[in-house]
Amino acid sequence: MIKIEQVNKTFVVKKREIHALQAINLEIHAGEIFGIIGYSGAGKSTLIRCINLLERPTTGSISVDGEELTSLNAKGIREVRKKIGMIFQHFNLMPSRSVLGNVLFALKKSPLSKEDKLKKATDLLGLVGLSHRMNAYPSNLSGGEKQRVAIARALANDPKVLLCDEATSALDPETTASILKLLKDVSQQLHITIVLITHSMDVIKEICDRVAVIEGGRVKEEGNVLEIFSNPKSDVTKQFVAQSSGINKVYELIEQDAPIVALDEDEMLIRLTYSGGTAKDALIYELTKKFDLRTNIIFGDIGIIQGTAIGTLVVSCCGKQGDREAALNYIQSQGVKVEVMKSC
Amino acid sequence: MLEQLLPNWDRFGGMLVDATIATLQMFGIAGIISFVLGTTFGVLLVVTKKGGILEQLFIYNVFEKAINVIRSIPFLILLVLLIPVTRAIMGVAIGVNGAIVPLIFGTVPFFARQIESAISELDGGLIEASLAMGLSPLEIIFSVYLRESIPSIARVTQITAINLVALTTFAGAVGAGGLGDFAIQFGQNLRLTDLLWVTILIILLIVSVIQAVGNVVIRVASK
Repeated sequence: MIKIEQVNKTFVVKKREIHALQAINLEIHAGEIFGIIGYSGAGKSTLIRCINLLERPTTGSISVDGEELTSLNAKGIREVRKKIGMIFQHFNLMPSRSVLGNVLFALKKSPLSKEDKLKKATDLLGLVGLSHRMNAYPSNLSGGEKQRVAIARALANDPKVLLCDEATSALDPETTASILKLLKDVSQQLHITIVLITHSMDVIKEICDRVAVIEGGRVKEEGNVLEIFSNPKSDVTKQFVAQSSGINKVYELIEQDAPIVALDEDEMLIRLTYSGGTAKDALIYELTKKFDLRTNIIFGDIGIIQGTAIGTLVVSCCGKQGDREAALNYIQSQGVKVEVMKSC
Repeated sequence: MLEQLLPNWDRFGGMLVDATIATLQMFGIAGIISFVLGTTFGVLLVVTKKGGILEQLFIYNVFEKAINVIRSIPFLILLVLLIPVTRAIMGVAIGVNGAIVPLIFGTVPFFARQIESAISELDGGLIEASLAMGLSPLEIIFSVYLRESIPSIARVTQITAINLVALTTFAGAVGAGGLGDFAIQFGQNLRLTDLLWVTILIILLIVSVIQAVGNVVIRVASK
């Protein structure tokens, strides 16, 4: 659906070149929800803006639904943009227009008759759950409601692609969840390809099928979300995954020698990472039974990604050195990744 | 009663009415033309500047410099300086018609700057969203820049209009008459204090109407 090939974007600021994007290659399939994650300044905003040519790549090509965009003239680009909806972090609704007016605004150039436009706008507002607020003005809406209007507006011209530029970054966690759910519903009901950029791994975890991690204008890692989560390869991906699970806090505690991670003699602190079928409930029990270890779970995080459980546990184990080593081998043989965080 | 308050009304009242009409004519005609030209130039400044939707730095620089130069010339001097231009455009350089051209020159650069700053206040995100929707530059100018800035435009129009009323009082210098001229001739030279006060009241009334109309527009347009 979307093909990004060898895209480079260079900005010249005060005679200095800034390479915002470097040799980006991505292919986004029809109907999937594709996430692009990166820290501020990683280039993700520039990248998503290249897809509808709000930013023109310095070199490289972008094609959407089989149409090469970089060679189009201004008029051609305007036509293509009608088929690519976009929503923004700060919603960007027209303040002088009502909720209904904002959706109708997107239909301004549509060939539909006046009645059909009105019906379409009304239907879309129904789809996003705002039928009761059609005549309200943006200044009277909550953030979540504003984003719903923006989604209805973005869908007005039956786009094949919806670009989401940090669409939930300005929203509280509960509203974020409801907007993500709406996006998921929209993608399923209307068969729309969604590309979203975010700095939150939770958003990726929640709705994306595939993800690309970018840093310094380059794609560091790309793949199925479950795969990336259970087996992150690049440093930046590991950071994102760790942040999302909260495991970083445990490392901080170890660094600070906090009492909760203080170890007795013959004790060790291990981190277990498992996913899907390897998540055997009885593992901890086996450690006690088979190897005579006293175990205590200090930290746990279990998430469901695409219907598969993926988890991280931090466990303290106390027992004889030989038993502990045997236990580590046993854990590994069960397909669970294990790392000794600290031992005495 | 009227006799006591305005002892000179009988003799000069008719001339005061004429002066008021002359002022309103100058204000109306110069105002409408200045509004259109000022808005156009203000929009041009915004869209042609760096990063604008129709970036054209050459055009931007020309307008920018021209506005700065004209704005720096005091109006009374502009009035005299423009006499040949006025004659070329209007055929005459004196009277109400003779005052219109300099009034436009005196108002447009100021108003264009005001419009520029008024529509620059608009959240850039709205422009980005409009571009993403596939709107053309002309559509963005009319349905976003101008339409979404109505409250700000009304506010700067108020200021400029009141300014323009003040400028019309200079018009006596090119024989256009008007309330400013009347105040000097009759209020100052003939010491008809009563009529001087009436002149001030009339100007106050004009300014109040401008304020009131502007406020209504701002209130209705602000959502």
